[in-house]
Amino acid sequence: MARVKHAKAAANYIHHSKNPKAQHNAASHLRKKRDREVINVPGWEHLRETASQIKMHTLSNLDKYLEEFERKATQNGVKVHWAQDGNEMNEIVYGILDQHQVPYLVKSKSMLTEECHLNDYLEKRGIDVFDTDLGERIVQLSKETPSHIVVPAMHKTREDISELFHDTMKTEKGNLDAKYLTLAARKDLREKFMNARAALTGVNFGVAETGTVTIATNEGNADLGVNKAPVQIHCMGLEKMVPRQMDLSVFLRLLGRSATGQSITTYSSHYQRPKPGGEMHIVLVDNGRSKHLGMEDFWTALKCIRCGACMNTCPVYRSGGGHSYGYTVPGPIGSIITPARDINQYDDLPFASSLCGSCSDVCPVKIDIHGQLLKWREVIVDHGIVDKSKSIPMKMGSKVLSKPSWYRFAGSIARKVMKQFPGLVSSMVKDWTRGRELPEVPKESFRSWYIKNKKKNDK
Amino acid sequence: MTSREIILGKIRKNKPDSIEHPGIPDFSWPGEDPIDRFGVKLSQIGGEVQLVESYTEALQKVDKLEGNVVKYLVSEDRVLNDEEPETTVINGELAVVENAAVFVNVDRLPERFVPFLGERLIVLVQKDKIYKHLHEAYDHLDLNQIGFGIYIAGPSATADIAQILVRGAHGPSKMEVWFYNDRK
Ligand code: SF4
Repeated sequence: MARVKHAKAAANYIHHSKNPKAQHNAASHLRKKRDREVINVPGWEHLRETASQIKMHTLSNLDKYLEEFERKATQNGVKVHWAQDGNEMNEIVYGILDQHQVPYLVKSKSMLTEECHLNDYLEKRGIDVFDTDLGERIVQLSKETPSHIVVPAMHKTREDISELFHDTMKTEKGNLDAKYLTLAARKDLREKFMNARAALTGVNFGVAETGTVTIATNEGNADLGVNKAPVQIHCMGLEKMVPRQMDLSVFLRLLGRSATGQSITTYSSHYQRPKPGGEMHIVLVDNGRSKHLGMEDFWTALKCIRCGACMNTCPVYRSGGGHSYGYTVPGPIGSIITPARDINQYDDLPFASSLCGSCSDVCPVKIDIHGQLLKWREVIVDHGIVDKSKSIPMKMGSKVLSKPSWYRFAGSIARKVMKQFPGLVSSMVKDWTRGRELPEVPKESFRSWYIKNKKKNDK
Repeated sequence: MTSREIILGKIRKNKPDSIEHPGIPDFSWPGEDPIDRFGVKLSQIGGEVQLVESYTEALQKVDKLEGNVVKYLVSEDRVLNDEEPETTVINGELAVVENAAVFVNVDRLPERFVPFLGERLIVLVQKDKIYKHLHEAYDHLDLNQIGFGIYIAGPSATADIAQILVRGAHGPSKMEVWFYNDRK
């Protein structure tokens, strides 16, 4: 199915969805919680800088650390697999489940398996998948995709969820009590957990020194699943690596605070060895990451620890909703990852930003997100990928902006034209004015106002 | 070529020039009265601190708990019953002031799922095993010696329905940390 471009999908969300404010309110709420928590951490900026450097160090020695990680994990009795792309990851996971004749899989939140469409793959082959994180379960039951990487059902209201649970779990109609609904989902999944023979999770950090898989969650679903089932599988993107156990101290201090304003998530698990009598598998997944590593201007996007802070703070994400990006990882970080994976498909996303820079300000690993958005725009325009309505005015714009006298002249003409023919101007920028008003035209330019007032003040 | 070789080959070709590891700076954290601060933090996330004189006293207190209690504290405590307990009592290795987390070495428990079952989780921690932040805490752990270890901070929680906090999502809905003075 062809992907709908961001501008259209976002407009659709704003004008035609039932609750276009749900996402906005939830994301703003998280952003505020983050600020309240972060302000109390002495040396926060230093912590961010340290995290950024550790990630750059790791990525620039990634082959070495992956090998060390594999060696250590293997010594610990873990089976390590390598997958070049999503399909290979799916094959590997299916192979393990098939070998054990597992009827179903309990899975905890993993954006990587969303990225690789694992659920589809397994269900087509007769293995049911139960997403066990509440938010993820909600989107699974409603046959949707996550709209946020940390809070997958962020776009849904209590009313939506109450209705969904009534239809799928026979909860009381119209009961909006969040506790009642949560406990209903807990009960519904309990039996699945208790009898599961295989469980799968994503990974937040892999530690080379100790072969550790670290997972940060709040609900306890990941750990309950993994520890009840004899077979545990962890799917991990290559970029999740950190060198030593001590490095975890830096990232776990940043992750929960940036994500939801928690000093740490309720559970931060460290798996080194399989349970007695059990099996532990780690699948290392590339799926475009090694290629991304070679992009001089863009490789630092791989530092991302998937906290979601850049989404929560982004005005474009909050208004247009997570689904409008048409990719598993939405928001500012999604908009710089996607073109690295497939520039033809996602050439619209670097334009889905106001470049306000708030994303870069909150990012716990200091990715220059808005800088990269701008760079991607250049790349896309240079390659002529961008559609004409954006590229010609942009080229003219940059010509005019590069010469002060042209700019001044263009400004004086524009002020006149806009006064005389406001309708004409609106229709020229009609995509921009949809949902907005053009501002009133000032009588004079800022420059002439400034010169006049400066003279006054100098007197 | 195997996928492993292909992936590692691509990384070797593409990786940027090596950048140095910055080391872990000496981060500060307000130091006075760590147990008190830990308690405040834990109460903010829905948990509770109790102070007991000695380990022996803690054990006596555990024995007086009502309802279906399972404890895994001394090596004789290895029974597991089928039904979910109301209260689960386990030992913790250390506690962290900045985030009210306790580290549990799950290898010491008869089954790995023990900390995630039951309504109420009680973790016993020795009073002088409290560290100001995670850097200090990791300095006192050796993951190489542990099969499965976990930081637990407060009860299981979710806010996935309209940002409303609900405790007891899949794990316990209550969590207590009992600090004891000494091992006696
Ligand atoms: S880019 Fe930064 S802020 Fe955004 S999800 Fe990744 S780590 Fe978080």
